[in-house]
Amino acid sequence: MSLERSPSLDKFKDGMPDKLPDQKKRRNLLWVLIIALIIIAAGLGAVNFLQSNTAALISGTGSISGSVIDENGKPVAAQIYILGTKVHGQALEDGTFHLDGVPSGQQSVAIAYQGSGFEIPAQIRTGENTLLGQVQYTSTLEPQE
Amino acid sequence: MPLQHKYSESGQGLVEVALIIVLVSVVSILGLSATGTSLQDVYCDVVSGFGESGSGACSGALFSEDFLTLDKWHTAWGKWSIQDGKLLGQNYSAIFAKDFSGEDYMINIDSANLSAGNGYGVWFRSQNFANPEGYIFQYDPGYDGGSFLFRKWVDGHELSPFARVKVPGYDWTGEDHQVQIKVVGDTFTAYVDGAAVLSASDSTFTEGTIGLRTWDSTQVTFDDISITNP
Repeated sequence: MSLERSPSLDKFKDGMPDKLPDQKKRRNLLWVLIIALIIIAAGLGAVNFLQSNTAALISGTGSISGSVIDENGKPVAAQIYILGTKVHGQALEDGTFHLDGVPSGQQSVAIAYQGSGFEIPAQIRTGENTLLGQVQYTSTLEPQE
Repeated sequence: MPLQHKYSESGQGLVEVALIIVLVSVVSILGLSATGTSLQDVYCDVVSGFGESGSGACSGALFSEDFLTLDKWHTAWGKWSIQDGKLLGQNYSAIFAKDFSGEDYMINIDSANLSAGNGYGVWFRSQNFANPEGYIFQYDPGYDGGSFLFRKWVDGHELSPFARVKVPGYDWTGEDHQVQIKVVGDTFTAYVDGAAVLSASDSTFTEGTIGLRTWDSTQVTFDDISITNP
């Protein structure tokens, strides 16, 4: 018997009692604590998983398409990046682009050309193509009014 | 006989206590991970809470440079030189600390002196020296009448600022300023002469080195750069 479970000598001053102190209650309390910790650990594990790239991979991918023009309406062969991922591509000479394998969920799309660029938010749905439409490229090296 | 029956349960508490210890450890680690808190940071916070200056991983610089040579640096473009024990950057140039990479840290530039031009930048969590990716803090008198700002760089392209504060009337040139950037999780705070001037959040880039950048007709000197735990 472990020391912490040893009954006090007071309980034996009148001889051996009919029934030793019941340890079940204490053990039940321990198991309630253990189960509560398991539930908390599972919850935190789920949060960690949802924050990981693995969750994004499992949740699937979609695609995104659109076109890039300059201030004069001419097509721009801009670079397109999905930030935080390895997915990127380049718009064609006519300014259109289409990227596959974009992780689903809220993404930030960077449109870049000749050293500068800007971001556009996009909601990607699994198995669907998200149309960004026509995006006007302007250099962002100086502030935009 | 009842006594013998009770003895059959002896020692089982040890398993439960062990389980609780393991579960508390697991919950603590998962909790820190979910909130993006570094175990080392927590340890260092506790150490400093006891009034200790810290030891081991909590003390000293992760990187330090007093510019006797440029051995710890990689010039990505432009020209950098050492002049009177200080790093001189001018025109279009970029330089990165070669052998450092980290997630959360504090960049300390004890002295940055812009003598001319449109400003300079301090990269953090940056990678790929040829086509940099990461964040940059810009001390930028040339941007909209003078601004402090944070930008992202993607594959060699600088994106529009994701945080900016306009500082009209600030005395940008000709004086030594202390510049610090605190990088913790997805939150970045820039300090000039000990005062927080800009704070922003973003989670695109999680780790990388530091660097410096100049553009246009900038002339700037830097001295005593270190990286410490935040």
